[in-house]
Amino acid sequence: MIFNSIEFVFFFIIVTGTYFLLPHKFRWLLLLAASCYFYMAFVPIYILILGFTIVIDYFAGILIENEFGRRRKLFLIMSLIANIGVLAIFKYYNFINENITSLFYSFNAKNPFPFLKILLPIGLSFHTFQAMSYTIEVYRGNQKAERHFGIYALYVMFYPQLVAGPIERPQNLLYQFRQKFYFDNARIALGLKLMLWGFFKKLVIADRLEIYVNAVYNNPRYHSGNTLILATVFFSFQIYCDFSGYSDIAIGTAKVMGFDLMTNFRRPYFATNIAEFWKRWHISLSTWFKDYLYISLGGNRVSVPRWYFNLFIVFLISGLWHGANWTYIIWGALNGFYLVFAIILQPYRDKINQFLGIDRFSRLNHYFQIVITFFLTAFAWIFFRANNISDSLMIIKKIFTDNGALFFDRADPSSFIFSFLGISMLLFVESKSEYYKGGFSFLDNRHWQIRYVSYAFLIITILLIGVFDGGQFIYFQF
Amino acid sequence: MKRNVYLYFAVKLILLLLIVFLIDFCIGNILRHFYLKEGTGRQYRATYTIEKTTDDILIFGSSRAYHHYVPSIIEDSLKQSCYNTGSPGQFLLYNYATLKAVLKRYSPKLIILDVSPRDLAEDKESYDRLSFLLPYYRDHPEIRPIVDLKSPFEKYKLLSSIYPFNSKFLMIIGGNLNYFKNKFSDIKGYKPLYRKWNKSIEIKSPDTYKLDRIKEKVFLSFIEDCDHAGSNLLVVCSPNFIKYNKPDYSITVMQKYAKSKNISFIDFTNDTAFINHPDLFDDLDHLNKRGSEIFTINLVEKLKKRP
Repeated sequence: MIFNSIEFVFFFIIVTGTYFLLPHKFRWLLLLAASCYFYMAFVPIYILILGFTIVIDYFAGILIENEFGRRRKLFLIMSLIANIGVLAIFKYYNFINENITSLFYSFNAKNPFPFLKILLPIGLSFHTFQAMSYTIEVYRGNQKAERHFGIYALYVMFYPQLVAGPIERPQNLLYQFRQKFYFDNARIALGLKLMLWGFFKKLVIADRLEIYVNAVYNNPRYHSGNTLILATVFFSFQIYCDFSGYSDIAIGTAKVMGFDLMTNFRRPYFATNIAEFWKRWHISLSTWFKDYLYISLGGNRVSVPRWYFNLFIVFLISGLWHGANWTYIIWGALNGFYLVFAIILQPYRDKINQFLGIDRFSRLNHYFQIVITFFLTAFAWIFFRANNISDSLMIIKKIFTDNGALFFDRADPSSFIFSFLGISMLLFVESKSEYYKGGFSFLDNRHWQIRYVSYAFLIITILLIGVFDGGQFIYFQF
Repeated sequence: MKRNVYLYFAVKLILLLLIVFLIDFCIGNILRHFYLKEGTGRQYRATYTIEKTTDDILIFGSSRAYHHYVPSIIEDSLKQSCYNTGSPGQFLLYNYATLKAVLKRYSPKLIILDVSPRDLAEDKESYDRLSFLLPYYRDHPEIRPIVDLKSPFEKYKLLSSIYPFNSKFLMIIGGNLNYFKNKFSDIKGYKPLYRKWNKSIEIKSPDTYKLDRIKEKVFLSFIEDCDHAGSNLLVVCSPNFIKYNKPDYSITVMQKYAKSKNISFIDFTNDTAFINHPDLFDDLDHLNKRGSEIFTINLVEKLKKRP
């Protein structure tokens, strides 16, 4: 079931209503059943995979807690192997096999390994990482092993964040399933507001931009460099609104019931450098990699070359996490390269800035850096969105060489105009949140009349220019 | 205390819903008024097809129909009035819905249905595109069963007065402005294209795909409804600039159904009068002005030879 469907609206009303009517001791059961139903609405049989990792990690957690010394580590490793094994089979096996086939082919040999006819279970990377964070935290002693199987299953399966995050940590989420949440008007209003803003981002902006982006990126050879630049900029906003829209709906849905999920995005396109961008973008994944991979590799408490290697490898794996395709790997590597290169260049940049006196124009420099960071990120998105590497390279080549006319439907420019309208509204709201936090607010205004008209305005805008036949959320495929 | 909390929430929610409902009702009805007043464009042509056509000959189809059939040539040759209802991006499901609306008012003497390869393929998008018919859902019960194929929840979404006009308001403005009336006008539903294709022909095997059972049924219903109304039906697959090395699955199936119901089916795919002449095409799927004129003359000749 996807959030931007009428089915979800009914599902949400029924589940939330029942949740508050039920006595506290039965609520976990309701949420677990609802989460199973939510997941099974995609491909029912894949719940067995989820069940497999839940059972493994549930017992692994208890065994890790009960054991000492090397056996603790052994159980952790077994649990990690089981989780990564599921990912490897369902997400990476065919990709690896495809590359082995190419390798064999270059030696005129035949690949003996068969391809698997399997679909990627929705949100596999998300719930696998969330499950892994549980056993790691139990191993590190930061979290007690959960003895209640149902509560543990709910931690992995909690429907608002089951298929696209935020990837929660057990210390933040598990205890909340035992808390009794009352019907709190202010909290419910906050949750519903977040959901509304999430729907706006998804339906009005992301799905609208998707129409142009798909038309261009699925046939790049027929489009000019200018069109490809615009489609790349559109895609940068599309993926942000798609994914952060999902996160807002997820966080809002959980908040209505009383649960606090972690913030996943903090206006990433206002970042002034790549490092800051990654502190604002998909925060639950960035911090996951930082906590469980980067620090385990030694972080920055190692030699300088090793530090650079650590940074690069984390981004490379982050790329691979997104998808079994070379385009994602290159996207990850490019971001790793940006980051390492920025660190290497930092002292020289400081000297140049000092020499040119750029600090005197700090505000201007600030905006300049935002623009540069945006375009670097957008450039990397080319690899993320393109259908394959040769398309990515063609797009880059055309951007720099083909100065043709801009593509848009002259007979019906509505979609094009709505795209710019949506981006403008997003930038207005986000720049206000970034720079003028205390100023006039529409959705949080102290006068209920202004608040209500603002909610109504958002709903009416969604009805007027939202895309109701749009596809799934991009991040579901990961 | 607890009851007060629920009551307070319910009152606030009802208040918000009332505000939304009121704004939605006002804007929705303003949009409806101007939608139905449009004088040009795709939306106007859909309204004209559904509510106003009185012509002897009607042509149904997608953009290929829209750009391929020249009503004036048909009118001059057959001495009967003709209108081209072809609508870009719309295929069999839309054509059937508009046919039902037309047949409710009158029975044209001849109906030409232009079909394309892949017309019967499973494809979610063709159902999504039925949202183009939502403005007529309220006043035309005959099209509802087709629009409902889009989703079982469509009737709930239609509680909103704005929803039928979702994403349409700029087109509504355009359709009501004289500037656009001159710019986007058509000739009895026909719109010529002017480019000349200059690439060599593509030779390809038809795509393999699953047939959509609903679309098959809709095609059969199209034939049966024309028969019940006493309208002659002719199914045509107009030319495209692709040479298929074997027939497309949808075309084969439609030909079979047409034959079983004694309906003429004329297939112009692989017709050498067209596939040897790229200069008659605007792109791979559409004839240009000269191509459409030659095609229409060709079709009329075949029509005249029919018993």
